[in-house]
Amino acid sequence: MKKIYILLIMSAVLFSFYSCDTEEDLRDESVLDIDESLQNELDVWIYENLTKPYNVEVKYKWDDNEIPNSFHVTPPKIEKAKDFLEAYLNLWIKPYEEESIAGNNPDFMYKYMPKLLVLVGTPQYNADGSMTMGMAEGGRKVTIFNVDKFAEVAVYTWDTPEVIVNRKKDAMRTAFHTLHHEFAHIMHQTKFYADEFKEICKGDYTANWMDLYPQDANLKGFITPYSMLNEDEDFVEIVAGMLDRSKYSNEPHEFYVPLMDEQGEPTNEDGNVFMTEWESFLYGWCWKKEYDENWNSYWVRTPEAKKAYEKFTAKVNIVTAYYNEKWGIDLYNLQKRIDTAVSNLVIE
Amino acid sequence: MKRLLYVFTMLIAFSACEDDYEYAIDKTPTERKVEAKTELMNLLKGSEFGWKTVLVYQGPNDKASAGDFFVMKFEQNGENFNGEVTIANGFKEEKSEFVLNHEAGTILNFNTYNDVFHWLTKPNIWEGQGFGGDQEFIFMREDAGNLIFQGKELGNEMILEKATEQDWDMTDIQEMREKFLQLFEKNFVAFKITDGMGATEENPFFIRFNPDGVAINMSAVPDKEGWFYEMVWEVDGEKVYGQEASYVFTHDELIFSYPVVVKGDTLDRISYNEVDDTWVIGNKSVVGTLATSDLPMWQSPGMVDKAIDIFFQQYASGWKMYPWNYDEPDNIVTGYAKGIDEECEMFDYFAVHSNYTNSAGENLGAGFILEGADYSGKYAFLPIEIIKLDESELKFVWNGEVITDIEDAAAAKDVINTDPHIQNMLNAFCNPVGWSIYCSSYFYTPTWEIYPAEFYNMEDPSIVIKAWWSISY
Repeated sequence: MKKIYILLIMSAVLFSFYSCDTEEDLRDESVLDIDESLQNELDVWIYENLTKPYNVEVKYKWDDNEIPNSFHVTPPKIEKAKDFLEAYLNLWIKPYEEESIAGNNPDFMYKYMPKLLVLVGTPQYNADGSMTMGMAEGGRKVTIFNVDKFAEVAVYTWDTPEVIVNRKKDAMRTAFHTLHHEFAHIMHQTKFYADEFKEICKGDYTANWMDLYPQDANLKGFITPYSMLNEDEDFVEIVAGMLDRSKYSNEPHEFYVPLMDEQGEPTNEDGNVFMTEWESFLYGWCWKKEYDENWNSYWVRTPEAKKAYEKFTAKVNIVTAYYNEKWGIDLYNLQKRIDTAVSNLVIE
Repeated sequence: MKRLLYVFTMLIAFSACEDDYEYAIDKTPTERKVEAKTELMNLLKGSEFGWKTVLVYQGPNDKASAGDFFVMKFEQNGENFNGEVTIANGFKEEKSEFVLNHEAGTILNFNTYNDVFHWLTKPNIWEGQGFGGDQEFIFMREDAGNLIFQGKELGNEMILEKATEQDWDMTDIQEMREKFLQLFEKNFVAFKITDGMGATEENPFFIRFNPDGVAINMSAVPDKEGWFYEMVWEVDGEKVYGQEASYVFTHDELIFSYPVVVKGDTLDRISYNEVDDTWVIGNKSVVGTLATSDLPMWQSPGMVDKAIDIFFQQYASGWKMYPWNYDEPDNIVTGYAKGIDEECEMFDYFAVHSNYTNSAGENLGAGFILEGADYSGKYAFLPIEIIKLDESELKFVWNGEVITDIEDAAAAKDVINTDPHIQNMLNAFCNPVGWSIYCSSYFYTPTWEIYPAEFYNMEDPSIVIKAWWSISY
């Protein structure tokens, strides 16, 4: 009898293991609900010009998963998104691509350019009074805000068509500040820049950058107030600032300015100097106009200004060397390529 | 005992395999999501002429309210849960895209920019949440043929009601707006309330459209300039400014996106009655009319006394007519003052004083003052009588006399009597009907009372002088 019970228990245990195996075959239909999205002209253009050749996905249709929950923004106007993307291809991707090929790093853009570009129509207005104009996440995604105002310029009744076109071209150059800035973050997050950079303005970084004027930042050796937030922002703002100021890079322009002596000190003599936009930005860094007892004006460069200039140019040298050595990109050549691209861009 | 244990073991073995999961929910989450989206898509495209709704948002920080009337038609993209939506308000129509998602519920996402729809959502420099509009809506339920949604971000309710073919014809809305804007050709546009809000036939209550009221920065939605208003009224003698808000023109009525609530009664809508060419208040608890006039429709109590006792003698030279006026450069009186300043060689400025004391300490009483040109310190004083006609109506009467310290007094009198600009000024001020003052003060700080006053020439109401005084306590 005992054997029968044992037999019964064993068969019950066996049955229980067997009977719990109720795994069904996989369903024929997918459990994923995949929709084919509506393809408008812009979607087709994006696929042909950005996705196929560069493996870049562009999201301009509202998807709140791509935007922080606390943000209140709207999708961009389609015509402005198109304007932006055409300029993005011609003024941003292609100059980098050409420069990296010239620098023997042909895969550079395909490897490192952000694979997801999210476009937002408006800026994000933050509680502290600042505006978010761009965000980069982990080297993969860049979000560009305020696309609805892309390359928007004031037009006055007395403006000639040429003046308007030139003003638009200037606006185009600066419109990519955010992308240059965010892309530079991807660069330094991938390969570190020299620690030496961090030492130059050590102690001058501040979380209260928004309370400072650009001239205050310049006088400390920074390109913008925002660059004073931390070393990384300082680094990327220099890159973006250089690439914003690409005008006249191919053909220096004649500026009528106070002349400087051999030591770089300002004189009271004015004259013509041929410079690129970037050189003209550096020229006269923090010079100050003062007046003598007879109210005659004269230019001075204070010791503080001189020190700021030296700090800033030292950082610029580190940044340009970094791009050359680590990525095969000559930022001065890149300025030229952007200048050419802007000149070639037809603006209706 | 052993037997019991064996039986118990057998029971566990047989009962362990009861798979009740499949019985409780017989569809996968994906199937159920698809089902929910299908249901909403069928509802959205099920209305032949689409849907209509009025969305009115109270700005998140009480800075401005705004709203609009929309008609929308959804077209599905094949079998997908997205498609095109045509959205129109009374004045514009635009196509954009929509998509149905499923997150915390089934969501209708207006996912590409639509100029007609998204202006209520756009943030702007003065308010990060713009007018507080949503662009994604959670489908809550169908109720008596209406589709009820709730804004995903800000929780606004959107009720889609079935539209008709006529709803897409916006001619009546455009005509209504044109008709409404014509009202503003008059100086005063105001509600005269005779019942509700504490008003009676004998003691009506007035709510005025403040012609200078809209000051919000519209740079985010520049095409909406001119679509906003501000109303102003008085409660217990104190001026109350309503929020700056947008008009919402619908087929049936004009809705004010910021309701005026006084003593528990609300006014937020009117409709146009074509038969007798009147505007009728749509709120049941309030009776009244929307009236227009070139002159103030009600008295501003105590304003004549205040003007004579304080304003016309607040500064040494009294109430001066300046030849420049940045707010209203085309103002008629400004033109007269400019003419005196630029073309009259003897005098520069014209002023009104109710109690003038000259530099010699001599009190000359009330009069017009013409200041000598080029800061000479010389003057001509034209004595006047200021007659109080009502609480806020007065009249200036000049008897023709001129008192002056200008050496050639005869020449001065001659200039006063012949200079066209001085004559225009005198004729305007001494018009035989008088002036009506509209003014209600407000406290800028607890000790600083502001008087923005408007003087209307009752003979020719196109002549208006705006003045601004303050009293500190």
